[in-house]
Amino acid sequence: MNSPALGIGIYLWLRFRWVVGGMLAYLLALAVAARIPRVHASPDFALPIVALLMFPLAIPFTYLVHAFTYGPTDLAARTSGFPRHMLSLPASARALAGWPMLIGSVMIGTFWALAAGLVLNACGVGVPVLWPAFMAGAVIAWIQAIAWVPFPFPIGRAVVLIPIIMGLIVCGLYAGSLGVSPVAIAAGYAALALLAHALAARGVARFRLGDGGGNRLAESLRRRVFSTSDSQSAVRRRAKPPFRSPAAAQLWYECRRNIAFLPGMTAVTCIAMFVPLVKAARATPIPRSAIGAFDVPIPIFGLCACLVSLYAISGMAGGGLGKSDYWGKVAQWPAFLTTRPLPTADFVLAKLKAAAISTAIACAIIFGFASLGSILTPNPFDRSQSLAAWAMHHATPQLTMYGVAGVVLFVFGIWRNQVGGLFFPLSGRPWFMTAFGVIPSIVSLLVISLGGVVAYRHPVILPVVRRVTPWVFSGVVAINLAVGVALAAALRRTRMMQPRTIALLVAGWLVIVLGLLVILHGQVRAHPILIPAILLFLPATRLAAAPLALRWNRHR
Amino acid sequence: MVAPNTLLERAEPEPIAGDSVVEVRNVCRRFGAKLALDDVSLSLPAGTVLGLVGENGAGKTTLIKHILGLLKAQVGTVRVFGLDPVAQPVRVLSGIGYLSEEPDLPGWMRVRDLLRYVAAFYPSWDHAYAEQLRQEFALDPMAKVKHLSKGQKARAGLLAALAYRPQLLVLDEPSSGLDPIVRRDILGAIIRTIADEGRTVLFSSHLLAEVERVSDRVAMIRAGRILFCDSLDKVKQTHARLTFRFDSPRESPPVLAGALTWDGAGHDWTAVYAGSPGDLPTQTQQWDARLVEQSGLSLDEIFLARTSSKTATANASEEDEA
Repeated sequence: MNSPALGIGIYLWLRFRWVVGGMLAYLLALAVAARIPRVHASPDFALPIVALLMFPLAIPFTYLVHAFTYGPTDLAARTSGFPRHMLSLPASARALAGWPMLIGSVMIGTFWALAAGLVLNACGVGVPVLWPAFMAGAVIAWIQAIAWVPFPFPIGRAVVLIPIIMGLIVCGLYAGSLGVSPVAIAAGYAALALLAHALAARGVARFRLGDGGGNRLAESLRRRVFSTSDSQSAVRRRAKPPFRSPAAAQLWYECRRNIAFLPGMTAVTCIAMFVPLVKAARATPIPRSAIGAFDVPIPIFGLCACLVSLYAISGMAGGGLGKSDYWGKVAQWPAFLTTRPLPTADFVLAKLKAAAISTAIACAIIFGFASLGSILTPNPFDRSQSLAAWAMHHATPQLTMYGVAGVVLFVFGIWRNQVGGLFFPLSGRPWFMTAFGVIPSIVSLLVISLGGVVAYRHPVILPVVRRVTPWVFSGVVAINLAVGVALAAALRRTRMMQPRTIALLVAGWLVIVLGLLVILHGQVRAHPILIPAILLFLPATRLAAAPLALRWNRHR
Repeated sequence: MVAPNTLLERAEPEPIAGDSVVEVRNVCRRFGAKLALDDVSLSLPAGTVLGLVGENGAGKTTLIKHILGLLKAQVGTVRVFGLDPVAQPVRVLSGIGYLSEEPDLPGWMRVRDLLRYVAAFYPSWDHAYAEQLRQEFALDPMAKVKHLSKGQKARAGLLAALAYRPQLLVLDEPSSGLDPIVRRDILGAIIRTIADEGRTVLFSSHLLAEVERVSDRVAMIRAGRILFCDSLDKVKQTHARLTFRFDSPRESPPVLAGALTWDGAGHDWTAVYAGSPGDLPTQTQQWDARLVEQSGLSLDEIFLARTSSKTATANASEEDEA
């Protein structure tokens, strides 16, 4: 029987069938692994190990969110992210919005139920099944609603997305801690999902009628301002000087279009987390929580979680930065850009500079909030003075040096995270990204995760792992260096870089490596694995691959 | 204007001196199983306007992308201004103005920003000329590109391609789906470019009346092969409509080498003929027919005959196989 539900279902199924199959296979593997009899291991580590095991599911989950929202969605746009070609289908707006919502919610909820029932509870991590499944469904429904509703202001979608998702999650956790019955919480989430449907249906209906989400008030104000003055003089007033060089123009392009995501997400995260963290840090006694075997103060845990999530977000930001347009769907660069007479390496250089600017803004936001927090937070050992005052009082040159080194490392890490994988999107070939980026990442995560299970179940193998790891790292470094040499030769052969420039860059890289080794010489003796770790952390080979990848994209 | 501080090799060779702005030699290009360009050779002398015509999917855009260096020739060579557009994109692209059927201008830019951005890449950008064109095209500098109509986008793209007075203007079906006023602007731009001494235009279009109006030379491409590339006058001279009257009625047309299409019934049959008219008597002397009418063809008619000829051949082949 033909119906809109069937059509939408087939459309979605064609998009996500492989991902769903992969996720189910992984869950099945985990379920089997969870039933291997344990030899001996501390149950205190059950939660971190299981969290590690579940982490690989985050990547396909992100893909599913894209599939259910018909994404990727332009978070900065005012207009609806609902696909225009579906608006002409003979179905009501309620059906167009409702069916993908229902399918998405049921699918994600079912995944949680399977993960909880087959893996988490089997591993001894007691988690509720019912209400989190409904929560997951409600979250996906709200993400869809936010994606499809036209917004009155640009980036409105990006601003409301995280608070709404966090609000939905916190509501359930809070209700659970108050002892509200799981059925009641589930019913609440079902009601919230229905509310999301009503909102999305209204958004799709408006979009169908051609309402792009413009703000009438802002438009009328703009019209009023420009109608009272001569438009030519207004233009002249706003005239900007020409760019100094093509490279400056390209950097402007990158900054205008491709760097907002990381600072935006950083600002939203800092704003959302600042008050709860400071409040927790000011409480007496400071609330603590058991994380595995450790009793961790909640403010410290929250701060670490924020920094780790920002680190992860910087990686995501790099994925968009490598495209010609961060929010664009097409991997191939448009002819508008590729026909500009700019050397390919200069396009890449503009991206590296843009990543540095994005990093600087994001880190300024983080350090601004951190400084404010340290002023507002009392010293845990002496509540009469602030953390900042205590730090100033006790700062020694050595501590200051460690602090500065930590900050530099963090800032560099954020930048590196953005530019390290740049060559994948720059290649403009989704198959290349999938074959050499996504699949190896998933396989690595799987190996690490399943290795974690095996190590958890059989700790006797840990000494072997410790002995083998440096060799594995060294092998990876050797491959990395060999690839680096080949890439340098390719850069020279294609005349994308002068031999002198290559030599200077290699010399600079060596200076940094040797400098780090000198600074950390004491640690290097104790932990020889630091040498390959440093070599892998500095992204020389990956950066060398970037211009070649773009050349491959530009001249197909 | 080239970036002063750059990582790049700048010592590029001087272009080879010669008459041809574009020189394509034996280029082949395959996309999977499909042969998009099959041993294509083409020469575009300086100061000429070449109209590139062909069906959808014939290989026009693929050929143009090779000239721009957006595609790399798998076999053969491409030289623009005597340079390889893949090896030396900056030098080559500095002299080319390009406008495609769907100008993929960044929708988020305002017209003012678009012009400011594009101007940075070309030392020869003429601000006064750009402003003159902007006013002629009635483009609001504060309008965002994504809010422009299709015609306005084409005008903005044309402005960005013309304002630095490129040595070679490449237009890839620029007037498809546009109203007559925008088409007039585009034609005007071509004429203006021709008026600048030494400028060369490569113009691909389905609107053959326009090609006929502005082109010195015409190249027709079909299934990845160049069928002919000659001056417009010569192309027209070597194509003719011939009407024969037979003494006895026929059910099918006679065999005539060079006949692209046949139309008719009974006594009267009309052929679109490609070839030297001098060969006709030897081919038709054994027919019980006489040539009653001979007339010239428009480019549109030649194009239709050439494409119908393929269709007819394809149909005939299918019938043979059946």
